[in-house]
Amino acid sequence: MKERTLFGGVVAFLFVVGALPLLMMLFGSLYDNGRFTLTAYKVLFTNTALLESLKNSFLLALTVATASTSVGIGLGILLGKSDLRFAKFFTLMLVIPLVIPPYILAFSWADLFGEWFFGFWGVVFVLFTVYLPIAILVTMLYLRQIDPHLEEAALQMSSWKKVLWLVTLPLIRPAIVFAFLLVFILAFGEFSVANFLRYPVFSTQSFVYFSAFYDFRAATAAALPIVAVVAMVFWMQRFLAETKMHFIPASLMQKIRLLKWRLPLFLFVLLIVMLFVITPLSMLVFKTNSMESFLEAGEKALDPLGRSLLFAMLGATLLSVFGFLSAYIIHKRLFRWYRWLDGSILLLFALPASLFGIALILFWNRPYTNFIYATPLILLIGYLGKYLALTTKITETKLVQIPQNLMDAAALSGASWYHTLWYIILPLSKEVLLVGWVVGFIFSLRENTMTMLLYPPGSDTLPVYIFTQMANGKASLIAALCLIMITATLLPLLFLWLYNTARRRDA
Amino acid sequence: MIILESIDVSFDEQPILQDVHLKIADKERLVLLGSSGSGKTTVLKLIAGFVTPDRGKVFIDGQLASEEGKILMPPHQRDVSMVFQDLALWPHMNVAKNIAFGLKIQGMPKKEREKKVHDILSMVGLEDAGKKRIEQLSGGEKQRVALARSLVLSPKVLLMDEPLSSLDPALNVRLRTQIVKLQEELGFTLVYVTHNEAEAKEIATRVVSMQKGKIVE
Repeated sequence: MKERTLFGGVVAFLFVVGALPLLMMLFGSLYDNGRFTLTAYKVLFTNTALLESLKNSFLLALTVATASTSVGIGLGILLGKSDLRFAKFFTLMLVIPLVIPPYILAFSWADLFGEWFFGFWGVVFVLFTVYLPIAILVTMLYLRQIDPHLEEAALQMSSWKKVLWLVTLPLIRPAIVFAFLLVFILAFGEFSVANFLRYPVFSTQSFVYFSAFYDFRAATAAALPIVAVVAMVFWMQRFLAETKMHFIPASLMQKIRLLKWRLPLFLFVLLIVMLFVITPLSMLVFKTNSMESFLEAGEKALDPLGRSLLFAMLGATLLSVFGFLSAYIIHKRLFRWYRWLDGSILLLFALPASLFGIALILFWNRPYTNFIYATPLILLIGYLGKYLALTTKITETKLVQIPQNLMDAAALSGASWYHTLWYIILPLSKEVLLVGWVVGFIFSLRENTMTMLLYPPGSDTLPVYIFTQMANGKASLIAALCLIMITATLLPLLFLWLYNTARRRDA
Repeated sequence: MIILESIDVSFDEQPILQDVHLKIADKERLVLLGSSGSGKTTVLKLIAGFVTPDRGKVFIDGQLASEEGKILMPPHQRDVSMVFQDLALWPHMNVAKNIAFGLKIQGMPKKEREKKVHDILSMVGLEDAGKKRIEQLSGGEKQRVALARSLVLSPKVLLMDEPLSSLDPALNVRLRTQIVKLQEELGFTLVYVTHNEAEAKEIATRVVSMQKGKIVE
């Protein structure tokens, strides 16, 4: 089979999974009984509650993005470029809020602070802790791309303080822009935390229109500004933050020696970890109160947990396979319109999960596709569409680092494209495939908003079960369920860390 | 015989090769000599089928292999092998697997493959290195593995892109002698790229100089 034929098939499949439902939803909102009409869009200009929520979302996204980026850049430099003690451990700890479902953190903080935590600043605080790791990780990633000679040359003339300001920070400017925009988009489309902390934001509106009134045309119209913001931000990002992704080995990086600041900064980072990570988790342990709560939670969560793990494993496998294939298409620029594939995958990731969930319902809820809609297959399609960007981007970081000469050498040895793919590219990418699988697993496992809309009867997952319990369940039971959920999420990360440690020891 | 006829190549509208004419006879040891950026490597990639000419034609053994904007004969059908400047050894395979890769793709039975790998490793003086991982080898050993991998398919033409540039002078001299000896023994055509005049003179039966994308002598 020809390379372009096979990969054309992959693109067609991904189009049906992701883009087509959204396009159908958009066209559906423009037609009423077969006639073109813009009546559904009147809601955007006439509904004051909607306009108010739009303003709220914008303000929320701006505040969260500014706070997360400002603090995240500083922490990223500290953790990724200095001789701070236990920097790797701190990084790992600070990533925890990103990988666990954000509404669990909202529940924990709300429980600690009580009623006054509800509202704008409560949502800002929770989302700040959730998205802070994005700014940290993006900064660390870009720092690994700085040619050490550029800083060495500057260090011959000045101290680190000025070099950081005049050389390092300008060189990682794309990271600052990229982190800000990414956090802005994610905060703009966030649903579960705002919903739990009772702050009216725009993404909840499309959900309300759909779930309460079943008015999908109004739901689509209400989501249009979100799509517009996401598309605009991605368009800007293309010009501002093109990632080169050529990494310098950590050992060659020019590290900042903290000297007398080493201890105070160590204590400062420790304090941040204690505050943002340990405190909410401890709250859950404290709230669980007794072993009975755990036993009760274990008994009640067993089925949903089993289903969650199974769906997450299947989702992660699909995400790894298609993430690899789409990264291959984008990296090799197999089609002239590869940027469209790249952009669509990113757009789906950035769109609110509620919107994508509604699009999937409208597209698959038909008698002849009931074998998908009425089974967990619909969840797998949802996970694949929503999180493909993650595994695609992770795989791309490796593909750009495989020298073209390795492929050319294979071609001269008589290898066809699939021989090269199978014997050269795939084995060289196996580590990022594993990382992609773990990331896919975690994100499929923690997914809540889309799953609430899509899960077939009798197939609820643990996050859905916890979310429904939050409305009127016992606090100790909810806390125990949250701890079970966190453990299930963090276990694969632990395995990955152990695997990497063992591999480094072997090497 | 390889013929390059009126070749122009450009990347991002930057001319790399301009009106290149070159004939390479069978069993010749041709050295392309020139400074970096003179277009030597592009000539090799053009012959190998990795670069498409913007103008002109490439003939291999009388067959049209590439012409303006098209590669008519894919790399593996050209009976050409190449030793890359960075050697391009596959890091996830051991020495024997690197060498046996092309034979495996051809469908050669395992036993036959193993014998052939053993023979070629003996030829380059690395009889016991088959099971070693690539990162365990010295620079000179890696160079010889790359050479063995290229020769195991018995190509008619071997292209070498500054393969010895990263080695120390003594090893460089030893290996160029070995390359000449192997070429004489096996009778392949050698197209060798270097910027080192002494190296060129020692290896070549003919030296062609390149400058700014043109052949100057």
